[in-house]
Amino acid sequence: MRILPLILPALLFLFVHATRQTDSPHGDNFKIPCNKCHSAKGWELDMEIYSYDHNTANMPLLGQHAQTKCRQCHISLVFSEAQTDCYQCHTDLHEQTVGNDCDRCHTPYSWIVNNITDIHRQGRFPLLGAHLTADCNSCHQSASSLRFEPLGVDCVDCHLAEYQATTQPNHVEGSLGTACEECHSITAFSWSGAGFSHQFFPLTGGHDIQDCNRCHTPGDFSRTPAECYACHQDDYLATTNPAHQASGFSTDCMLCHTTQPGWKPADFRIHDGEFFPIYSGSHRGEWDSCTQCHEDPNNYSSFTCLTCHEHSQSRMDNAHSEERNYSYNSMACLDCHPTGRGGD
Amino acid sequence: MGKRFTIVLLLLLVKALASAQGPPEGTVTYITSQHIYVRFNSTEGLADGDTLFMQENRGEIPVLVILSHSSTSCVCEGLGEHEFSLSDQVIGHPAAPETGEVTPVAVTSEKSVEPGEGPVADKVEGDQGGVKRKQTVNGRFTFSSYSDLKNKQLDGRERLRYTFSMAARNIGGSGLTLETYTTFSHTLKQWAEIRNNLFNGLKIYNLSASYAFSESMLLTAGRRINPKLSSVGAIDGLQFEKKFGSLSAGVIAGFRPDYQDYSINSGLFQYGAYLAHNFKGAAGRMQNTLAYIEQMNQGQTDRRFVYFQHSNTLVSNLWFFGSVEADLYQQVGGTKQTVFNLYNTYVNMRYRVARPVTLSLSYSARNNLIYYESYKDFLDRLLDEKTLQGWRFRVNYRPIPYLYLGAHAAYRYRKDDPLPTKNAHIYATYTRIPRIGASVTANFTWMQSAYLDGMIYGIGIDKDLLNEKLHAELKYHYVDQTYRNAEMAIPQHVGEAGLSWAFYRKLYLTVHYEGTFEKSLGYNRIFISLSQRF
Repeated sequence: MRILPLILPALLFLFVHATRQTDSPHGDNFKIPCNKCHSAKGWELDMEIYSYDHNTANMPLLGQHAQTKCRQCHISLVFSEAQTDCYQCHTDLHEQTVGNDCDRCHTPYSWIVNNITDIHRQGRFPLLGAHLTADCNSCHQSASSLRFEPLGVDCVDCHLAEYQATTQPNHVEGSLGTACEECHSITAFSWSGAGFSHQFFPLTGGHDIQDCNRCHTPGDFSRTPAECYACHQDDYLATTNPAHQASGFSTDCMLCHTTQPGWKPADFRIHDGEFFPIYSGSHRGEWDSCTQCHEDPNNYSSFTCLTCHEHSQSRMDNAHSEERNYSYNSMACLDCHPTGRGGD
Repeated sequence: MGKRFTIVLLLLLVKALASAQGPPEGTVTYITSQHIYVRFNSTEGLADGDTLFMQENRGEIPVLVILSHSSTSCVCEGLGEHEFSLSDQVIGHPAAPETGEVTPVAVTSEKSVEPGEGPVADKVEGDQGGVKRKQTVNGRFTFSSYSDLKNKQLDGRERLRYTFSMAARNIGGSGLTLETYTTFSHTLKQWAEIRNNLFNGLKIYNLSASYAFSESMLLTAGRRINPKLSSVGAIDGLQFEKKFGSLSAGVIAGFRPDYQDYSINSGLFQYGAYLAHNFKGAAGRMQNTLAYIEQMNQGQTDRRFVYFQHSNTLVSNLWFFGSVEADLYQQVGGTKQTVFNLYNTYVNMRYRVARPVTLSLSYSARNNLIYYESYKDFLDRLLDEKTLQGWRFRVNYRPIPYLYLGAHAAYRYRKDDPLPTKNAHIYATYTRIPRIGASVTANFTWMQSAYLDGMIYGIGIDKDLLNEKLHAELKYHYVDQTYRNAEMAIPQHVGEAGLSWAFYRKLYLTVHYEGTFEKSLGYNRIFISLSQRF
C-alpha cells in the first residue's frame, strides 16, 4: 500500500492529461499552457493575460501580421494548421509571373516594394542612369500593372518606338542599327546632347569642338558624312605645302593625317611601299620636309635626289659608262636604285 | 492514510467507468464566435449533423447542430437565437448503438485553407435549417507614394497609389460575401491620361459577390482572381465550385479584362473548368488542380491552354510546389493548329535537412503570353521571343540561436540575352546584439549581367522599438560595378533608412528612404505607405 501515494498522482496526471487532450479544440500535441491565453473568465481569448510569444512559432508576427485578426490566419482552432507561405493566404495578383517567393520583393511590414534597385541588380537588367528613377510601368506595361512578363534586356526591346520615331537622324532610313548602346550611354539621361556617345566617330583631337553645326547642318543630323573630305574639302583645296589638288593627292586624308589639330603630324607611310623608302632604310631620318626632295610643290611627281646627294655629273657619267639607258637625272637614279642604295 | 487513498482512487475509477456509459447529456465547455463546444461523457451514437436540444419548460427545443465530434466532444453551431453560456446543459438523442468500436476522433477542423479566402468556418453549411452565420467585415485602406526626388539631371517624379480592400463575409448572417481589391494609381503628371481614360489609373482586381449555398457549393459573380487559377488572372463573370469530399470541381464563364487598360471588355469571352483534389496525410497535405481554359476575342479563339498545379507537404520536411501551363492552340500564318506547347513551368521545393538547415531550389521557364487575335499586330515579335529560364538555389543555416547564415545563387538566361545573368549572395545575421537588442546583417553579393559586372558589400541594422510597435532599419551598401560595354566603373554608395510604425490602433505607417550616390550624382527615393485596417 505504500506505493499508493505514487500511483495516485500518476493516475491523476494521466486522467487530467487524457481529459485535456480530448477537451482541447487546439488539436493533438498542443503544448501551450492554457493560462497563456485563457483566464477563469471563460474560454474566450483574454487579451489582458495573453502572454504567448508568437515569435517562438513557425511564423513570427512581424510587421502588419501583428495587427491582423487571429482568425484571418487561424481558420481553425488547430493552430498548427495555419499556413505559413504567403501565397496560401494572399491571392497572387501577379498571376504567377514572379513565382511564389514573395519575400524577394515584399516584407511583412508593407506591400510596398522598397528594394526595387536591389531586385534589379540581381536580375537581368540592373538600373542605371535614368532607369534608376523610371516609373515601373514604363517598362512593365501589363494591363493590370502587376503582371510581370519576361522582358528583353536589349535597349530596343523597350525603346523600339523611340528608334522608329527618331528623325534626327532618321534611324530607320539610315539603317543605323538597333544596338543603341553604341551611340547612347545606359547611364545617360537623354538621347541627345550629353547623353549621346559619339564613339562611332570619336570627337578627339581636332574634332574636339563644342559647335555641332561645324559638321552638322543645323538641326539636321541625318546626312552627315563620315569622310574627312566631305568637311575638309576647303582645307584640301587651299593647302599649298604641298598643294594637294595640284599634286593629285588622294582625298582620303587618313592616308597621311590623324585627327590631331593642325593636320600635323602628316605621315605618308605608304611612300615606302609605293614610291621610295623614306621611313625605312638609309633615308630614314634623313629628311625634314617633303620639299627637300619634291622641290615643286605643285608637282609631287617630280623630285630630286641631288639636293642631298652632291654628285659631279662627269664622275657619274664615267661611273655609269657601261650602264645602258643611263642618264643623269633623279628619275633615272630611282629606276636603278629603288631602295636608294648604290649597290642595288 | 493508505485506505483513504484507496477510497479516492476507487471513486475516481468508478467515475471514469461511469463516464464510459455515455449518458446523452452534455455540457457547453467552450464558446467561440462561430462554434460551441459541448462535452459529453461519450458521444457514442451521435453523428455529425445531429441536433442537440435544451430542456425548457415547454419541453426540448433544438439549439445546436453537430459539425464534428470526437469520442467525448462535439463542435456545434447554434440554431436560432439562443444565447449560450458555459456549463449550459444540452441533450443528445443518439441513434441505436452500433456494434464495434468507435474510433476516437480529434476535435479538429478538416476545412482546407484556400488562398485568398476568408475563414472557412464563416461559410459552413447553408442557411437552410436556420444555421446561424456570423457576419465579419475586414478591410484596409492604403495610401502609398513612390517619390524620386529631383536631382541635377532629372526632374522629380511621384506616383501615388490608393488601395481599398474589403471582405464582408456572411452578410446579415447569410452565405453572401462581398469582396473588393481596388487600386487607383497615378503620377502627378499623368492627369491628362487619367482624364482620357479612367482605367489608366483605376485597376480593379476583385469586385465580387459570392454566395455559399452550403459548405460545399459556392457561386461567385463579378471580377475575381480564382486562387486555384491565379495564372488565368481576373475573371469577369461567374465562377461556380462544388466540393465532393476531397474533390472540387469548378466552372468559369465570363470575360477576361481588357488587355490594354484592365477594364471590362465584353469581346474577350472566356470559359473553362477545373478539378481540384485536396488530400491530407499524416505529415501534411497534397493539393492538385487541373484546369482547361479557352479565351476568345470577338468570337475567335485567342488562347486555349491547360494548367496544372501541384503542392505537396506529405513527405516530412519537404515542401514542393509546381505548376505547368501548356498552350493547346496556335495560329501562325493564318493556320490554326492544335498543339501542346509548354508555356510556363515553375517548380519550387524546400527541404529542411535538419532543424537548423534548409535548402530550397526553384526553376522557372517562362514565355510571354501570346493571344493570337489580340496581339496579332506584333505576333511575329512575340513568336520570336525565347524562353526565359531561371534557377535559384538557397541555403539557410542557423548554427546557434539568433545567428542566421545563408547563401543563394541565381542564374537567368534568355537566348537573346547578350550574356546570362548570374549572381551569388551570402549573408550573416545576428538577431540579438547584446545591450542594444538589435539585429545586424552583413552581406556580400557578386553579380554578372549582360551589362554589368560587380560586387556589393552591405551591412544593416534593424530593431523593434516602442514595445515592438515601431520597427526601424538602417542599411549601407557599397556597389563596385563596371559597365561592361564601355569598361566604365560606376561605383555607388547606397544608404537606406526605414520605419514601420503601428502608431494608432490599426493605423500603420511605413516610410523608407533610399539614397544612391555616384561620383557626381545622387538619386533619392522615398516610399511612404499609410494603411488603416478595419
